[in-house]
Amino acid sequence: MERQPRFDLTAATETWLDILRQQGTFTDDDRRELHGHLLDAIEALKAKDLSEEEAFLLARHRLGSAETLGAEFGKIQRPFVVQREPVILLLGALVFLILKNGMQTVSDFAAVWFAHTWGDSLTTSLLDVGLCFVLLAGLILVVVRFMQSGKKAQYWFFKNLHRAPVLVALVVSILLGLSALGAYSAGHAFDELLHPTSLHWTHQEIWHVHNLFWLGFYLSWLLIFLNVVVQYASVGNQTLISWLQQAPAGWLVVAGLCSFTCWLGLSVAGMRLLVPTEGINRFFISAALSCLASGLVLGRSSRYSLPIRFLLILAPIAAWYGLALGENLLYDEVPSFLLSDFFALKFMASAALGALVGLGLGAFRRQKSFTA
Amino acid sequence: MNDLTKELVAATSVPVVLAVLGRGESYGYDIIRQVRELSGGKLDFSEGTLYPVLRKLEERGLVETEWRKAENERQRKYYRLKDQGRATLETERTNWNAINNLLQNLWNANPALT
Repeated sequence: MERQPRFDLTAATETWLDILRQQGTFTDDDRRELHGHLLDAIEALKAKDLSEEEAFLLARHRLGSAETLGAEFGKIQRPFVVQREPVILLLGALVFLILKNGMQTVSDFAAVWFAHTWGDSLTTSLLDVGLCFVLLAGLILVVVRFMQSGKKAQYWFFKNLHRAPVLVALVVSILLGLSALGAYSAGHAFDELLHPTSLHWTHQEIWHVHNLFWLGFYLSWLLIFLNVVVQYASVGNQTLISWLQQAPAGWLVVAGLCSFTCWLGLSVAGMRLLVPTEGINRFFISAALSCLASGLVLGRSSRYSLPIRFLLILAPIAAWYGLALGENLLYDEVPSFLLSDFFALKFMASAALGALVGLGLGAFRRQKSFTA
Repeated sequence: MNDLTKELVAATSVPVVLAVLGRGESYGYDIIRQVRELSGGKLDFSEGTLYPVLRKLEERGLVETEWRKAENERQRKYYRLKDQGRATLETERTNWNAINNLLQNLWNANPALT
């Protein structure tokens, strides 16, 4: 028989305090006082023979929802320090700009240096792509890590902002100015490298791939943003992946379409570099990889049965094919490459193969995490 | 008896809280408990009503606060009336007595003798 998990009062009150924190209208002092109030109420209810869990639920109910309490506390006139949200939003925008400038400085100067050292060669392009990937992965890891320990960083920032507002503003401005200057010079150097009059470059793909890197950069921020939105909406309990595992079918199709487009971008970059003549294969590779990734995510989902999950993974691929074919027949040359050479069959077969492997691996991981 | 209206509860909140603190220092949970008991359960302040009132009194300089360890080893924020708070309590008492007298006179008024 499955055992009921033991009620953890500390964890339950922490979650409640988190909800208050996210409500945004309470100061630390308010939350501390309301926390004490809740504990007093729980103690009084426990004295009336209620269990700890019942006492907590009843005491929390009597205190009222975070919205109701927040609305009442929101009527108090407070000094400006409490209005943290606009500061956090602006800080987020500034950090984005500084990071973007910083990455542009590093990646553009590095590409120029690679080109000077290894000349007009595949090595230069591969090194550039490799560095771009490392920078992107580093960005995601650092930002996600920061989000997890965000409370400490936020506390530290606001403490210093309160103590020395002019100094903090000055440091941020200097960082922004320096990074903008760096990005400007780096962008200029990179443009000169590929300028058609100064140099006839045979490996022109470096230019395309380098630009795709910026697409990846913005997509990474979008992913980070979505992750934060999901965490905010679920009071910090969910990540983007755990939300997707339980998401409604419509959202899964949208997510699948986005994922396929990203894989298509990646495979365009990869094939331009490695086998520029085999253009069509990138569609099959992208379909397979995109469905593999979806399968890995949905392999752990318990909302839909296995056949439904399989169809949900294939649906965006079929939808993309329909859209592309429609666009191709309307605006491009006829007959379309999408209709010749068994394209549709190969395309859907690669997708199905990727989906099966992904679902299998996902289910295996789920099994392992259950037994562990 | 009908429930007290929200407006009446809001109007009485300042004098009631000042009067409770006039009996001695106290903290949020205890103020609500005292009000409930002394009113025979008729006046039940919600936390969303009480704490903003306490903040307002603190801001106006009528009460002072102190975080202190209670007998159960937990930190509590205690509220104490300041001199200015006592003066305001006296004014409130005079005003409310005047209103009370007025209403008593109106409700128990003798019929006109003419």
